[in-house]
Amino acid sequence: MEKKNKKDSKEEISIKIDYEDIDVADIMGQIKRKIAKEAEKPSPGESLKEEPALTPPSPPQFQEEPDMEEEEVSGFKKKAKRILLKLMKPFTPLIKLMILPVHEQILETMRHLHQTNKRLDFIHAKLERRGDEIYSSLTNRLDEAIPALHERIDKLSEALSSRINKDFEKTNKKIGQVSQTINKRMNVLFADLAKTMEYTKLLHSLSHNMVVEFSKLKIEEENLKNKTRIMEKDFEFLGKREKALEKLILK
Amino acid sequence: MKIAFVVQRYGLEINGGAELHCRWVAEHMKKYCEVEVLTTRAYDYITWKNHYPKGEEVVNNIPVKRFSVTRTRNPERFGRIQNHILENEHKEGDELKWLEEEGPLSLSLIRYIKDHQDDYDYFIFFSYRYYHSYWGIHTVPHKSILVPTAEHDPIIHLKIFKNLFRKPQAFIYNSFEERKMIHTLSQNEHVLGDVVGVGTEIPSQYSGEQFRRKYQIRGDYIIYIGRIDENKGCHQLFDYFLRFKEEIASDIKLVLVGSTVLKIPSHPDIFYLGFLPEEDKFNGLDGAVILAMPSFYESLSMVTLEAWALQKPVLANGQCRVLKGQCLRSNGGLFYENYQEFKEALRLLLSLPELRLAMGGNAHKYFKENYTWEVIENKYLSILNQLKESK
Repeated sequence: MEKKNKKDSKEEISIKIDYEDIDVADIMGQIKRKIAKEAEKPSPGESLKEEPALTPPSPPQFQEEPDMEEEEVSGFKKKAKRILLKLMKPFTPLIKLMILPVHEQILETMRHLHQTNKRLDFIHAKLERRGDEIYSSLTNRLDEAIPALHERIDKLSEALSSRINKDFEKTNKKIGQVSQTINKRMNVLFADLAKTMEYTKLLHSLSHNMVVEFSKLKIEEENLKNKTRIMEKDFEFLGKREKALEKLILK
Repeated sequence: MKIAFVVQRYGLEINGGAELHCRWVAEHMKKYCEVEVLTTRAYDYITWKNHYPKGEEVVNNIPVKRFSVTRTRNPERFGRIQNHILENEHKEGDELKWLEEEGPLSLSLIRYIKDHQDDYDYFIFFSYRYYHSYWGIHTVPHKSILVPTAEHDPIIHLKIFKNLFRKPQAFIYNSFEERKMIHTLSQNEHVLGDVVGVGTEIPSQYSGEQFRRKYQIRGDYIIYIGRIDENKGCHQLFDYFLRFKEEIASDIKLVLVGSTVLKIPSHPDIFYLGFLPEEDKFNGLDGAVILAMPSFYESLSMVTLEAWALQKPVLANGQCRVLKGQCLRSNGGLFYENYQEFKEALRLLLSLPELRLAMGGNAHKYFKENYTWEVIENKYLSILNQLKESK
């Protein structure tokens, strides 16, 4: 509904543009004129839709901004103005009070405040109305949608349970086949394992016997070495004795 | 020639504002003269708390001398003093007290400038509103150049600044509007000055398509890049954009890039992406149809220049004189001062691709003529040479 009320972004482009020589000032001038023209068109609640100019979020100005566009005054004029301003300084508050359109400004402010109040009231009423509309349309849509949703959920659950049952049977069969194959394979593996265990036992006793035999041989070797050493000593002694006896005989 | 750039904060982590402006200019001027940066140890611009180590360091081949901040800023007290001077009759002493609170209060920096003024040919001060610029310029007025980075905010009307603007030897303005404002305020037309601004680094490759793929954005979008803050006009932008969406049948989306201090409205066509790396930022700009620049106060919008470098038109807040002036001079963007104008301008830009194309072309031309680094460097050199000759 709302989409229909929206303007298309390509609608109503009535700005004349020279693409060869773009002039932003001219385009902005045309935009401003177009806005002013649209604002002049009578439409319900027009005054409430008026857009106030932007104001930057800043603290109030400490000093009034001099007009940047003002033409330069001559040195003499400046000097005279300065002297006059200096002389008038003590009376400044009084002069301001007399000159400045305070009353008009208050009235103007009141008018602005009144305008703002009207705008706020309008926006408030519009928002309330819109909120009610949205709430009722949402409730209606929900009421309409709930039975259809229930039906859809029932159908979906039926379809899902039949699908699950089919899949369950298939899966059971497959599991039976796989477990048979696994059992056969396991039996073969257990037989192999028993053989391997016997073989390991035999190897163990063989290695034990070999260790015992090697130990005996080692002891025997040590005995033989000792005997050899004793015989070498005896041989040496007998040699010395032989030399001594030879000396005695020769004498 | 030896030049000191004096700025409130300095570092690679500081990625915006006058500080980044200063760093870029310092790094580019390094080619032509000996450059040094004098700054504080602060990183946080709210409190000016000492963060960086004291002494000297080198940042991107630029020697940087950091001085301690004597007293941190108390935001509450500062707000109270500022409100007082903006809303009541006051004396110059009150304004100087405000300046002390504004900070960054670094007495050692001012003392250094005073003691070592003979070591430098010129001091280029950034941002008129801070303590270092005011007292630095008063310390070495005969060697001062000011880059005011002034915005159209009430503080500029303080009496102390009226006198300050007559002290430096030269001004480097960011825009014609800024120059006009300062001339009107302080009648300092006799002081040498030029509108320069700042250049910008554009990556050699960028892709809007890559951005769309990465962040899952379909269809045309407007992009806003910057701090998401009420003072930057973001609140108004959200309001106007939502009203526009309500009134006009359009698929346009709003993409927001930057850190936020505002609550962003939840709407299917508003995408908040947070702070993005430079590569993604340029990809995002490339993919956008328009850059939205809703800020009320800008002395020079760097992101606008970046958009123009990428041939993207801008929809700016016309309440900001600088942005409005830039749009009028470049013919590279439209502006608005109320919702009706926002609506019409946006409708026009969205419905006429040929207008966007033509404006993008104008913007790019304007960027090339005024904001490439070659142009900026030459303008700085010209001011320095003029000062040298007039000595």
